[in-house]
Amino acid sequence: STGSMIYNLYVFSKNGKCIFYQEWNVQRPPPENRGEDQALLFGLLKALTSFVSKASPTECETFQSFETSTYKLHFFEAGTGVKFVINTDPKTLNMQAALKKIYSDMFVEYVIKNPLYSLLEPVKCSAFESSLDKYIKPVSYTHLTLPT
Amino acid sequence: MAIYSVYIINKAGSLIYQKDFVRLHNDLTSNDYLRMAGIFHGVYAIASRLSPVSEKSSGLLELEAETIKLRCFQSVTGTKFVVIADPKQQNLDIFLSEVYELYADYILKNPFYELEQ
Repeated sequence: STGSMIYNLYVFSKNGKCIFYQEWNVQRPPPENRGEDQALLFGLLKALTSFVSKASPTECETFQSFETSTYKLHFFEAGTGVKFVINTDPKTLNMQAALKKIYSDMFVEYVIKNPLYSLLEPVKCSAFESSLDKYIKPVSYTHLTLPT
Repeated sequence: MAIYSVYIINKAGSLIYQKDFVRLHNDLTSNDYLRMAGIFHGVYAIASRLSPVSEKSSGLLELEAETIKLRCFQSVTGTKFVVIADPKQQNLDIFLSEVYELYADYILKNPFYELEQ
């Protein structure tokens, strides 16, 4: 792809709680109630996966991405039910490999394997945050693509 | 051409036309289809609201999953035309504008048609 603008990342626990949020290039003023926005997003993910599973000719329980005129949302659900959402500019092609990498190389490594962390709690893990930043920041507004 | 389904949804979110061209994984009742139209109508609007960019965003235009690709066109009057197809299917935007033309020619120009039915 010819360049990527990465806006933000959400991580949801299996039961819908937003346990991590990071933004790099969000151009909108922050919402009055961030929790409400996060709940709305989780509801959207649930509604879309339900819609897709009904509309599909073969078994399909999830989707990869959707786009509007201003952004593209990429979605990945891990086997444990943890859900990752990353928003980019609409032209960015495929972030599935990047999301899987964020899950396995960073989230599993620094969060799940951390004996002090419980899966339903907000993630406050500097190792996870800094590895994520190191991965995303160099390409978040550039002509490079994420290495996978 | 691997088109699976077409939905036409009015500006209030009600389903005004639906057809499947293939057998779906689950058999759906007409209530299921009505619900899906309502869900999509809501999803379309929420997608616009969740934009991380400050400019006015459109609603959900295209969706990709492993087994389907979805594309939506909203006319200036707020009617949504939704097509669900094989993920490799190209030119769904052209397909939808052709559906819109047929809708305009046969439905809207029919003097006996009650709007939004």
